[in-house]
Amino acid sequence: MAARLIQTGGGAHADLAGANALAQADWLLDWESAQRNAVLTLDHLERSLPAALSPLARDFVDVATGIFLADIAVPRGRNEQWVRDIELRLVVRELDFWQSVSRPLTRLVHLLTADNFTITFCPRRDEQPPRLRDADAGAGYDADCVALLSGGVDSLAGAVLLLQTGRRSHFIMHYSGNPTVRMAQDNVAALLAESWPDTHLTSALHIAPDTSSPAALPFPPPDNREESRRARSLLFMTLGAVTAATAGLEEVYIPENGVLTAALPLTRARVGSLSTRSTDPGVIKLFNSLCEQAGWSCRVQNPFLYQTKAELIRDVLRPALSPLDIQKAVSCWMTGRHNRQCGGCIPCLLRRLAMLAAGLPDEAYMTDILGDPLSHSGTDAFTNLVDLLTQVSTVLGKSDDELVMEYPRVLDLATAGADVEQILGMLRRFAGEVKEVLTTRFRASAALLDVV
Amino acid sequence: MGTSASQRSPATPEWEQVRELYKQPNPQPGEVVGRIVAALSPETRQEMHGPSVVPSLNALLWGSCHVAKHGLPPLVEDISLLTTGPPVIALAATVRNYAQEHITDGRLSSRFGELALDALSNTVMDAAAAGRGLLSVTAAEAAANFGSYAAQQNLAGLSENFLGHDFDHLFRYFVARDIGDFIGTEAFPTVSHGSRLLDDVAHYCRESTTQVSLAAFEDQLHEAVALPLHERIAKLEPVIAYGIVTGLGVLAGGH
Repeated sequence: MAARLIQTGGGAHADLAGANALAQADWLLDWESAQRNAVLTLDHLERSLPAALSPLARDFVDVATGIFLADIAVPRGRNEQWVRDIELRLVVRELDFWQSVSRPLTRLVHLLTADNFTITFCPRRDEQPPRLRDADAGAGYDADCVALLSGGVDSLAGAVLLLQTGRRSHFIMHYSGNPTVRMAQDNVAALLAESWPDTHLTSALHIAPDTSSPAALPFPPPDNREESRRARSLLFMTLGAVTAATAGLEEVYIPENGVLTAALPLTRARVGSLSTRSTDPGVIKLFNSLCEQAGWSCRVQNPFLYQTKAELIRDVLRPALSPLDIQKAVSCWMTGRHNRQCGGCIPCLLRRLAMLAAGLPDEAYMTDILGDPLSHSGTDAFTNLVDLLTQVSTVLGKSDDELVMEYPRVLDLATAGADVEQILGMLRRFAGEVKEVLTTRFRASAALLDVV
Repeated sequence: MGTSASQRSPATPEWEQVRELYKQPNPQPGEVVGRIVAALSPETRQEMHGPSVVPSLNALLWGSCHVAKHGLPPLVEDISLLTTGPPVIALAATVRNYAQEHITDGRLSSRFGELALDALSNTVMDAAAAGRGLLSVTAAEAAANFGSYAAQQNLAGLSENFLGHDFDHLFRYFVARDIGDFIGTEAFPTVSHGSRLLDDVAHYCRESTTQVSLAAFEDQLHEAVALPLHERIAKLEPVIAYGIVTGLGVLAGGH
């Protein structure tokens, strides 16, 4: 049985059919009215831009927000129940456009989530007149590109690369609901402002479930929300593209290292959306096709498709920033639940190995899984390490032909235009970095890899 | 959860019987597979040959027929891969993409559909390379090899290869979600030992299920490819169901 979610607002459901649909919905989504159960604040962004968002640009934000919230509202099951069926009805201003791009949009969302999404659209009926803009809104806007800033190491590397080459970037952050990540995002923004003053602009946007209002429609409580958030990058890319389209810019950067971008499942137990595909080249290609259909000249691109995280730190960040500054970026998805990074999730493992491979000092983590793996046997952190080492061992031990057979997902990257041989080369460098760090610093983990 | 997650097998006595084997050094792949078959719930067995698996078989048959009739370039020109990468990769990527579009459009996604998609990819690459290096086969050779199944009325043989790869991926998945807990023990001291079990299980599945013949479906497979896309599921689903059910029967008693 599919979960049904409907965006209310815009007067779209005043008719009887709409009212029936509302009654049958599992969740109603609203980020506009007094009943809103989500928050969407674009004020800061709009004030900074040289023009108001077009109706189509506002639709892009609404559509991405609706998909983002639906992804959170419907929990996944275990094992074979992981894949969800979701019917989502959204309210838009440019109905013809959305109906014409329904297929590539659904394909994009499927690539991100591996879920069965059915997305339908209905027209707004209460379009409000354009809001008055302050006379000085957008004054002095001189950005020449847009870059997404997550608060993590890779987007920091992307920002540094742009600023060091004299680009005037408009950085877009999607504020996390997680206070620790949010603090890291603020720290990274402050670091860039101090290191490259008056060269760029940063806009932080807050889009999240929010039932704090007394009249708020219900929304699943935090413990019942889906944690995987596989659709989040669509919202992130949308905010970047909308900014670029409104400012007349062409480049939108979403920096992510090659290993996470390729997203080859560490083992067969992590197929499909068990492994995030947030910057999958196929996703970016489909998103860019939506931009093209919208008549926008902006295109999203990932400059680090063929680079490992250690290479980004060593070649981009280290020459520009101190180790302490680099470590202000946060990678851990568990951050916020603990007072420091967990050390056992895949992002933590990749970060720690990359930092050390790039010659940075080690950091403190809640769990020293690399130093003493066997004492964590039976935990998810141990499984993460073992699965990561399994991939490293596979990459080190197999020929290119065998790797393509081992990881058929490589074919998706080829379809999106990525160079398979360069992807495999990047994976081999990554595996070499991991082996080197383990053999020199973590002999207990190296023993699991069979390289001692 | 985070960027990559894995989930262990259900906490049932039957799956516990499977995990018991991972406490021993060198468990026999046939015994591992047999216990896994015994642990599968009726719903899981059903889903293993459900509609989400059919787009992969359909794409395989469609690809072979298309290449036999028109050659490789018309098939892959849309994604411009022939000029940028090895022909076998271009061919397999195109066929995989075709199946993925069918899955998305039909809202047919499932865990077993994802595994079947990987099985499809391996089957196409195997068939197109025909024992040679994937990256060195020419476009003409890839087309001749892959198209030969349709041209020589051997779609059943191609489907059997797919079935073997599907069992390979299915049982790697079942083992991989639990074996991590046993790495570092006396039975599996390193990740290489775990990988060896996975390879042995996969090899066992592929070899054992060569006993499953789909020859009786040859005409049905050709008829299916000629149908409009939306009608092919009904025509192909019984073929997949027969193959998976018969294959599980073979694997259930294996040692």
